[in-house]
Formats: sequence, C-alpha cells, structure tokens
Amino acid sequence: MRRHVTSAGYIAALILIGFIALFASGFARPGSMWPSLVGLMALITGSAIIGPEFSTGALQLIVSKPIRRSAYLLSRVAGVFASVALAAVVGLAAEVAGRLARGGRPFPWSRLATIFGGTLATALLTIAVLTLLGSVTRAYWNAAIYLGTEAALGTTQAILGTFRMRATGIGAFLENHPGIERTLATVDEVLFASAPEQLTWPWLARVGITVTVTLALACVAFERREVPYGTD
Amino acid sequence: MTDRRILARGVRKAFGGRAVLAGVDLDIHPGEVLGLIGPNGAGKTTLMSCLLGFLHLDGGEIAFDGRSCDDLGIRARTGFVPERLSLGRRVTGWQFVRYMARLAGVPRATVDQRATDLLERLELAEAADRPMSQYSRGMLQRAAICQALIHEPDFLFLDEPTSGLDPNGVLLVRDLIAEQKQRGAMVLLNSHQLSEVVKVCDRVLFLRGGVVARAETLRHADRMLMAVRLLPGSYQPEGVKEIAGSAAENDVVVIAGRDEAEIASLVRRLVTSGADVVEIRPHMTDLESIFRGQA
Repeated sequence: MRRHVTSAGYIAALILIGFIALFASGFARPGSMWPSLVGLMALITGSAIIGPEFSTGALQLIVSKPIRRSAYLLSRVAGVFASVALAAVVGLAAEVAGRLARGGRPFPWSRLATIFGGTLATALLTIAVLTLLGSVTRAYWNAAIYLGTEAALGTTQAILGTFRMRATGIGAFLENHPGIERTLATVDEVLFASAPEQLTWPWLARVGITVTVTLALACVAFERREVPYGTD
Repeated sequence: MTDRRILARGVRKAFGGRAVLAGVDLDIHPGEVLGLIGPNGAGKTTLMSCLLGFLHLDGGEIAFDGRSCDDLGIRARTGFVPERLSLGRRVTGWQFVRYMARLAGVPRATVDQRATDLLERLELAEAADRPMSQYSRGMLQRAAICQALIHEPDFLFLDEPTSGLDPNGVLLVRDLIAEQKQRGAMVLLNSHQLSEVVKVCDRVLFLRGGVVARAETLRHADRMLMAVRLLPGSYQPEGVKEIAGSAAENDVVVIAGRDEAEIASLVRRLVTSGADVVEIRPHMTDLESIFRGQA
C-alpha cells in the first residue's frame, strides 16, 4: 500500500479519477467512467503483485525470512486492493460531491452504492485472477495473459455463436453439444465478471467464492514455486 | 541432542535436463567459515539457492541443525547477503533495514536500536535517511549486510559480500565475518575474490561441473600450520621429511604444531639437522594455483 501511495503515478491517477468522476457527475447516468478507470487500475497494479520482485531480487530476500510465502502474497493482495479501493472511494466521493453541488434531481444514493460495491467486487476478482497468474508467470506477462484470455473467450463465444446459426457441420455439432458454449460462457462470467445492474447475494457469493478459490490456488502455487537466484 | 551443523548430502539439481549439481556433499559446523569457489557455471549459486530453499532439490538432502531449510524456525536463524541488492528504490536505508529486521522476527522493542547500531557499524548512519535509489553499489552492499546480520543469524550465506566495496568496506566485512565466526555462526561464503577467501575461510570447496572437485582445509582449529623456506642444498630431504612429516616442495616444507612452542621446537630440530632456514610464515593454501589447476 505504501509503495502505491508514495508513487507519483498513483497519486496522479487518483487525481485523474477524481476529476473525471466530478465531470461525469453531470451525466444523468450515475457511475459513468470512473468505475472503468478503477478497473484499469486493478489490472495495472494487480499485474505487478509478484512479477517485479522476481527481477529485482527482492523476492529472494523476502523468502529467506521466516515468513510464509502465502502470508506475504496475501499481504501484497491486501495492499493492492486497498490502493484500488481508495481510488474507488475517490471516484465515488468526487461524483457525490459533484451531484450534491449541482442539486436538483433526486440523489441516486442506492444506484451509486451498487456501482461502488460492484466496482470493488470486480476489482478484487481482477486482482485475484492476476495474482494466480503472477504466482506462476513472470513480470507483466500475466496482464497480457489476462487480457488475452478475456479477449479469446469473448471472441470464441462470438465465433461459435455465428457457426451455430448454420444447421450443418460445426453448427449442428454445437447445437447437439450446448455444454461447450455454456462452459465458455460460465468461465467468462466467473473469471471476468462484470458488475450487474443490481447487486444480488448469489452474484456476490459467486465472486467471493471465485476470489477465495483463486487466491487459495495462487498461495499453493507460490508456496511451491522455485525462486531462481543468480545465474551461476 | 540436535546435530548442530549445516549438512548437505548428494545434492542434485538439473535445469532442462542439464545437471548443474551432480551430488554435492557439504558440512558447516558452528564457528566455521566455508568458502565456495569455482569457475563460472560450476553451480555455486545453484548450491546456495538450494541451501536457502529457493530451489527444490532433484535429489539428496539438506538439513540445518537436523531440520529442513524451509522450516520457519530455521529461516528465523538464517541471514543472506545477495550479490546484488536492487529493491526498494523509494525506501530509505533505515526503512529497508527496519522492515527486513521485522520480517526476520526482531522484536519491535529492540528493532530501532539494533538498526541504528548496525547502520552505524556499517558506516551507513549518515545515509540512513536517504532513498536507496541514491545509494552507490557499495552502500547497497552495506545495507544488504546490515539486513542479514541484524537478527544475529546462526546460518549466514554471503554471496560476493565484498563486491562493490572500497578497501575499508572489505576490511569491515572481514571483521564482521570473524565476529560471526567467533559467536558460533555457520558461514558459507561464495566468492571469486580468492585473496579474501583465504583470509576468512577455514575450509574451501572447489566446485566444478556440479561436483566438489577438491576440498581444502585452510585453517585448523587445533593446530597451526607454518611454511618454512629452506636454503637450497642445505638440507637432507629425507631428514626434513622425518621431522616435518611431509616432504619439502620447492624448498618449502609445511610444519604443524599445536602451539608456538611446538612450532619453535620443530624449527630447532630442522636447524639442528643442518637445514638453513630462510623464512618462516603462516602457511596459506595457494588457492590461485588450485584454481588454475582445477579450472
């Protein structure tokens, strides 16, 4: 957390989110733009949870200390999530301030609360998935893998949907095996969930379970991972 | 009673089918400094990584006082100085040392005092409040040594600890290693600086091709070794061998004694046998020639 709050880049991002949220508070639709920026911040900071330590040699020093690797990993996740949550708070506060200053329309408290909760939940999910990827890959590859997987899932579903329109060949096969598309859609929805219009307990529970399982897998992978040192 | 030592038996490690360590045995006892030397690619750093638990073994075993190196209790007693320290650009030396000390389990009540004392000892006190991004290579090395020693580890791993240090720093590190040895720490020193290895190590392992090609004892805890240079032609080789227990090589014979009195007695016997003694000096194994011969 301290690493982020003392970073000029992070502070600049907070100011940017604040200004954009203030600007977007003039829109009729609440929660415009800033939740996406918070999601982008989760992607950027989440991709650096473990990677840089491998190359700087910091990780070797850390793992030589009497601290469980999983405890270290989870503390990093907590720090990164706290930094992203702070950005969400700034966005929300700026939008609330903007709307209160403008007055007039009935204040969308409930909608803003839903957007804030959904933004935090999806950010945590993004960070958890990136942590899992970071526990088995190096440096910033995990961001590329994350985005690549998300894009591949979306594209594959679109292509399969197009094929299914035809009654022959692959289309017929997909028609007879609906589980293929259903599985892809489920994986997409579980790993890359978007916040719904209304937060529901089942959705929150699913995100919570995914985060828990993903972080548990990340801890297991990180505990077992070799930490190369030197070249000799 | 626990077996107090660092022990490695038949340590094997391969990367992509290439064996980097092919059955290495090693023992380090309390109060002993073991040097690890060998050409590039010999497997020194891999061995150190295996001992520190960074890498999983393909075969063999490693035990610290009879326990695994992954044991948190063992890690709490382990110190490690990496060859290069390149982290925490924004943190100050003080923050870095303090953070590492807390991770190492130094109690909150004593951590500040310990950090202050050690930073002073390593001549970093004045720079302690500066960000480490402004540190020179030597200063980073001193900070790395600080974090490794702050919890007074029983097992100390030093990877090129003098690299980047000025002559004063080198002398300081030598003193610090001697102090660790004095208080009973087990020290493994990986270094290409053969002159330093000779000065601080009790034993040396020469690693080549992933195996221990040669082991040399540089210092005996219970006896002194002296090299006596004799005037060529002044001595009978057989007589010298009988007195010293070993033959003279290039007119130099190595004598061993429990104390100075025994050394003096052996020298007297050599002189009485007719040998003219030209020079007497502490015997140092010539690591350079070993290195040349083995590499």
